[in-house]
Amino acid sequence: MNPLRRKLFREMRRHRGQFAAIVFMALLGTALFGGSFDAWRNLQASYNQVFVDLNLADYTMAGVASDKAQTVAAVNGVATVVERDVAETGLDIGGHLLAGRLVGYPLGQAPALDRIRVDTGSLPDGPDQVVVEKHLAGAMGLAPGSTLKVALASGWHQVTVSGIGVSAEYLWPAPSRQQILVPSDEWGVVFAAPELVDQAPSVSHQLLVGYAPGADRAALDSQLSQLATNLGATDSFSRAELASNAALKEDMDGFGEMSFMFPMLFLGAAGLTVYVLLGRLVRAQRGEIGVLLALGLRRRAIVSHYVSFGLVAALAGAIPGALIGVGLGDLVTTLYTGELGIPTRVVNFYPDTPLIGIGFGLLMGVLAPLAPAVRAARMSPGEAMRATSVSVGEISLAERLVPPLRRLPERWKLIVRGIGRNRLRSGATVLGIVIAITLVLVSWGLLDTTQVLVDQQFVQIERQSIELTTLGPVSNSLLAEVTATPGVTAAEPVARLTVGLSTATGSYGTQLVGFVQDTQMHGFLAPGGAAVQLPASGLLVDDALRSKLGLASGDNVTVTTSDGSKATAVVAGFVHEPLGAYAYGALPYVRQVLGQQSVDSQTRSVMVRTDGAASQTVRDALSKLPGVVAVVRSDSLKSLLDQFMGLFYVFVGVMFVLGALLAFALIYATISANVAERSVELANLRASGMSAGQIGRMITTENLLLATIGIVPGLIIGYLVSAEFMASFSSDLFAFDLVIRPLSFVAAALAAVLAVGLSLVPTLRAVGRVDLGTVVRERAT
Amino acid sequence: MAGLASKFRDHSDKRQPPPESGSSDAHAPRPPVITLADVHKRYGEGAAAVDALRGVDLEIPSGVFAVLLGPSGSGKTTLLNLVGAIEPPSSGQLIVDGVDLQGLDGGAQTTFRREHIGFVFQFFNLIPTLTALENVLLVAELVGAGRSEAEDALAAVGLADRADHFPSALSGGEQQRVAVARAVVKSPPLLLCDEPTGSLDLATGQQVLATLREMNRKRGITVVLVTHNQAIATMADTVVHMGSGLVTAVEPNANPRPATEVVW
Repeated sequence: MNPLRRKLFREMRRHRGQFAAIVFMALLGTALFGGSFDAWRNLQASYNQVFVDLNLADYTMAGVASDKAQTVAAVNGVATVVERDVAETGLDIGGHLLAGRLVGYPLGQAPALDRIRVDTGSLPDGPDQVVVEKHLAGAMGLAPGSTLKVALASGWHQVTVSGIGVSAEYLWPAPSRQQILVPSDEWGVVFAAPELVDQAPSVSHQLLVGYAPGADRAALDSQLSQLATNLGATDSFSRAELASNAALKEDMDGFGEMSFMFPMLFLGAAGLTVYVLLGRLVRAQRGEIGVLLALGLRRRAIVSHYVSFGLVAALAGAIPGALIGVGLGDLVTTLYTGELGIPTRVVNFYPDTPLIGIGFGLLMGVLAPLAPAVRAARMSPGEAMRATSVSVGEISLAERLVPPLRRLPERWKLIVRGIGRNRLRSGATVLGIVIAITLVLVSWGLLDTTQVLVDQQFVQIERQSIELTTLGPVSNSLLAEVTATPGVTAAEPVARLTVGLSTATGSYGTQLVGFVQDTQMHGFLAPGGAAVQLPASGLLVDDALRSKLGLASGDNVTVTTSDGSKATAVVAGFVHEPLGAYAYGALPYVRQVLGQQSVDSQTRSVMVRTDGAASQTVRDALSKLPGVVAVVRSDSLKSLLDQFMGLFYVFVGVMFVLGALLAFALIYATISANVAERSVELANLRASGMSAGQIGRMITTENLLLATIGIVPGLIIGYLVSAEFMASFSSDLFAFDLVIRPLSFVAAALAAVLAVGLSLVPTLRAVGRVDLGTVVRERAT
Repeated sequence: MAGLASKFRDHSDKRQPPPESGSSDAHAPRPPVITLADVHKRYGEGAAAVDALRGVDLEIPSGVFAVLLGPSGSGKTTLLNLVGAIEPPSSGQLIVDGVDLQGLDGGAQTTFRREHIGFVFQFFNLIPTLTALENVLLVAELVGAGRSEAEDALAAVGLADRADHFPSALSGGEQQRVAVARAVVKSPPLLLCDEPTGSLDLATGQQVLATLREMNRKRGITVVLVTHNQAIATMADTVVHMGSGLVTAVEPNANPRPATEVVW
């Protein structure tokens, strides 16, 4: 083997700790890149395949009359328009009342758009048969042959399940963008013959639009959105805005972001470590480099030799990392689609992914060592071989700023000046600390924020214990019966109207919720968190709609109801809520704006507060009241959120561990390089009678000081990154306002100190084991 | 150069100033400060084992300026390291300044070095981020000595006016003299020097040797200096010849040369 190559491998062995740290970081960066990039692509492919297989509509308009279909069909780029009816109603499954959606599905033939795939059983062959969407079927234990009751205008009607189906519209079952998280045992979808759906109360007519192949999707979405407003639609949304897709897209985008972020983070840290390590190596080997140059070795051979160190480390990590990434991508895709019940799983092998990952690694492996390698090659042989080569010493910045520090004992001066001795290396240690703190804060910020969000939503804002849905308008007698039910402390009628809000800027489909003036069921929080009262006149609108619709307090907004009638309401103010983007008004005002009869006919909810004991018992009692078709407990939604958070916690835990490992590897590499550079000086101090313990304490103190220096910028950068991260999740569906509790800042700082402490353990052990007899004969570098 | 101030820690119960040449005490036997009896030192095991010392018997009296002379690989640095408790002997008896070094653990070795030994190495290896005075003071603090002792040590090596300079601003000779000051600020009874002039030119080397001789003469510090340089041996009171891991001869030198006359 070429002697230079032999030297290279021996040096890797000699610095095996730092070499292993670099390989580890390169491996993690490449594997996580491959895993998240492939998962992102697989998920996109899986969703797209489902959409293709089931002909998901490209655009949907709700509340548009049938005679407008031709107008829509005439738009250039529209290939198909399909009409159907959809109704929100109640379901009774074995005595359990829940809210449901009846979706019209033609008998005998699949519609051109929004088909369903029947996994078990068959399509209905009569109006008394239905296909149940799989999430509902799973939650309620339904199978072909099961029966359930559907609330029609005439009362409860029994139907039989003919099949269990999957729909591209409900990959994530959500009633609307405002209600993304609904337990499957509280709301579900049933596909039924149009004749059955038309008998339900509050039927909405929809137009489903399919684009021609190659059509400009963005342009058509925009065009149809405007057309929907002109046609008086109560709601309209593109495929991307479909509640299910919008929820899933957040996750998918997360994978996309991670596939970019991880290689940057890990490979960047690996590159910095290579740079620091090789800088030290070149410095230590000045004499050898000088001799080699004097003997005639080409400068490019010197460059190549030192670059090879970085390259070998990069490839040693990137190649296995790329292979692991392939498997990781498959695993993540399988777990994710399985968890969410995505019916089609596409797992492809993307040969470019491992190549790109290895490419990132190669780039790091070449660029990181380049500067020190070129520096080595540019040395003049005579200069390099000169015996004395002493670092320039100077008073530290701290001593210059605080002169009394110059009276510190010499051991403390050694510590303080050691920090500034190699600024790049100290900077790398501080960077490792900043990274550790940032990753901890992002993880715990996520936890803190979501915990506060849940508390805000279910304690401060939604104050009802139970919400009933009735078949017809809420009557005084029903209200009295509800109030008299044991355990009930308060009951109020609530109107939930599906409306479109529109201004000159745009339109948005949402719910207008009408409460009694002094409602106990809902807290209204203004942006900034201050509590506000529901005004007697005017609407409170969610802050997310301020920019969407270009609204300000006092502005007028057009309200279009499901029957197509329009009215003008005033925006009295804004609220800021974590989930959904609703509009709220006092019932008397809403009646005044939209008409008493219209509103009263939509007042089909009663919100109830209980005394906290046995809410299931109260729920069961309320279910038996005549006219009640759905009973939803608030705490079941909270439980669903907690379950949802369980996945989140796993993600947070993984991020935390990865961050800790990255910080440990980076800090270990820089600290060990620091100590190795001073090994001869330290050995001389040992020879003079300083104990290994004293030296260990000096090294520890120096690095803990570095940790302290890194804590403040780490906390600041961590906070900013967390805020950016949270903002990327925010939309009209979710408002993630970053909250980081004070204890989380303290914990992040302690985690950084712990990372430094753990990184010191192998280094201090090496200091204690140094062969004094050999080292004291060496020249310091 | 100025002599050492009397403010240094006093090891007078262990050290005796050397007798003036010609006095009746000049040839009186002095107690040994170093005693080696059948000392062996082996590195490695099996076929790769190297016997650096193969049964050394030696006594060095206190207060002398002794030179260990021998070619490369003769074991002289190994011997110095054993005497300085940097490494333990493989076998044999080794008593230095009244302390039996056989069987000392790491902590005891450190304490011994702190209280009994000063070291000067070929590569001075000063701490680059500390000034000359601070380098000396760092070691002074180990034994509870203070700033005045450190300043006196620097003055003794003729560098009082360079006290606030960092090593990068000092010449090689000046750095080595700072290293000498660092070694003697503790007032050790024994000063061990491993090729202290190996990195220096003639004039600078003579200065350093003169400094070491000064320490020996004025304060009675026993100096053991390792070198392969025959010329340096001419300034010693005693020359210990070594070869192949053994002491081959111990040669007293009745007329040691002044350092300034040593030429190589």
